[in-house]
Amino acid sequence: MSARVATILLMFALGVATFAAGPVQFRGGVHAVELNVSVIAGKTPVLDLGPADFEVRDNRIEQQIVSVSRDVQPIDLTVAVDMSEMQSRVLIAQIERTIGRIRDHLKPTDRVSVLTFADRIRTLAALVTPDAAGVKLGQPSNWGTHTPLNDVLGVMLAAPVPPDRRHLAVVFADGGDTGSVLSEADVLDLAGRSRAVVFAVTRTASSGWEMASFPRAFVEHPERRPTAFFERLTTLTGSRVSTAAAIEIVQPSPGTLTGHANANLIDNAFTSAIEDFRAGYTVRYVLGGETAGWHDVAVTVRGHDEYRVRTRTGYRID
Amino acid sequence: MTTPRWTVCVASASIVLSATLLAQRPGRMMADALFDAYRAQGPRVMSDALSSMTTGQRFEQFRADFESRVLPEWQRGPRTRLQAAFMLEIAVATDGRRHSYQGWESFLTLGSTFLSNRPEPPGANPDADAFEVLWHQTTVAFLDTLQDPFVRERAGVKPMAARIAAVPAPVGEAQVLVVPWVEIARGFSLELITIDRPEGLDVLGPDALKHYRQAAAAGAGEIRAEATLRAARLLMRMKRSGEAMAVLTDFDDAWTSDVTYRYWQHLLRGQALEALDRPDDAVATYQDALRIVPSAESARIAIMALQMKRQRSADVAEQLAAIKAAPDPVVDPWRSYRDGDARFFQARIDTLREMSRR
Repeated sequence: MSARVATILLMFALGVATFAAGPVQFRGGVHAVELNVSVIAGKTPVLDLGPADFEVRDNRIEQQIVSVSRDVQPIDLTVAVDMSEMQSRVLIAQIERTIGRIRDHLKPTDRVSVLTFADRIRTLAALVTPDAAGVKLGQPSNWGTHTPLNDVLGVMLAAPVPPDRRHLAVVFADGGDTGSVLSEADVLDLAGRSRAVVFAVTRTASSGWEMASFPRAFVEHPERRPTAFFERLTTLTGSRVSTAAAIEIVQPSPGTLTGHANANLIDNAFTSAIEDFRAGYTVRYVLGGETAGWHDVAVTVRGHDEYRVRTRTGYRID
Repeated sequence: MTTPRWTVCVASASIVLSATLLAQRPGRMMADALFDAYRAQGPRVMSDALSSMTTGQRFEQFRADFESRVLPEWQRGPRTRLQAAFMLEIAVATDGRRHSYQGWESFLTLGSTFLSNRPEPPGANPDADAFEVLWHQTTVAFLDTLQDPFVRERAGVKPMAARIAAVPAPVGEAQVLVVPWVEIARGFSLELITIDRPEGLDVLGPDALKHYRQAAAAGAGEIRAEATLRAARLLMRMKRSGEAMAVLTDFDDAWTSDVTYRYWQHLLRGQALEALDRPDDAVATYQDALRIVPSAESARIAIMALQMKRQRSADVAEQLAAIKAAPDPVVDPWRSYRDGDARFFQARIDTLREMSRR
């Protein structure tokens, strides 16, 4: 092991590396890369993997893994809630209750920020302890006519996070963007430079904004749906979209299906995002040589093709 | 057992009275009764009546009654501005209930036809021309509040396509109402369908740009300002940032004192400079935008994103802190860019109401 890599390992261990977003750059063009990696077998997280179990390819070149840890670094959770007039009041009340119970799913060392976005982006809580995360979302001043979704995503992705913490950004949105200065391409570009993992919760197509407002375009071009952008963004950062169904279908007896209003629109989606993130591994490796540009990332678990591995699909070094 | 005659009389009178009162309940008014109430009491009665209809079926009965009985009568008699305004008011009053009131759009197309079928041709009665133009501008502004590009095109822009033009018709052709604004409305309809979505821009973008350029060439003042800025924004979306920069350089502050346009101009110029790989100039131009509207988030977010790409974390943090700390009210003119004419709706309908009662 070279002296330089040993130094980097030491810096990882001490958590003294300082960076705002993306990979850590050290002298001599060496970059340390951290990936959040979740591994699922069926529906169960796999929790007993070590460095030898992972195979990481960065721009198709296999990397030497420096370390793997799980649930060591505290989490900075940022929650952003769409408060545009298309958003359901019932849904907002449910999100408010869910945030109020967030301490049940976080540790005291974790921190929570809560933003709302409509005609302005408003910070209701900034890096508070989970106990203090309860907020009043439904106040009249939080509502508005616009949905600057891309802008709030940009704000979340740009938020500085200390190197010894992980960043999970959860956005609750009822549809696509109206009123942002940032485009979807801008957001994806920022996501490539950010360490944040973005998780999106949106309503199902049949009950949400997208089918009501732009039916023809979305029927002919499903790739234009807001959920399609969420898919691209969450896949890039190593997460997923959750759709909260307004109607829940249950099967009380064989051959019988019953639909009823879903009284738990948000809890399951939200808590599964946090649990997924917490169960994930932090996988670290070091890049040397010419590193500027876009990096495609692929992670697998050796000998377990059946495992579902979720991590960011790439990042950018400038 | 026989029923005394006076009992029958009282019962009959009660039924007639109940039916009369029922008919006057706002949600059960027929179209002519509602029009009478509108004429007497003003626009507030419209929202009361429409919100009381509670079901699409009730609204459909109302619409069918209007179209089959009331409108033909109006078309036979002398047409009034109040009648045209009434049709627009019905559509406006259905706002928020548009998904259950299926026929609401037809009041706009009926109103448009009602106005254009007036006996005098365009140019013969400037006052009537001005009212008709304002009616269409108000309709488009209302439709822009709904943010549905297809309804905007179908019920707002298409009905006036052959009726209003940016320049007078050539000699020998049918006369038209002349307002360069119509080309902005047509261009924006096309652009709205593709806005923030790359798909479709190759097909619709050049047509939308043509309309904006026609409006800029024929218009003056705020129409020229808006057409120029929308053309620049569209050119940037079409990856023609050099042309966009040239268009923005031609923008003259003397065209308008509207803060919204002046803010847009600096924000768009910043974006063009960014696309032309002049980041320092872009940041300075975004800061010019902030000098016009200090609380605006969009210019700060543009700086934040640009500085993040340049790995200037202190500048990123500065903008994030300013966004977070901005006191209410935060005013961001960019947020209304995508709303088309929606920001003019209230002023236009107030003027229309006033003109319709002269």
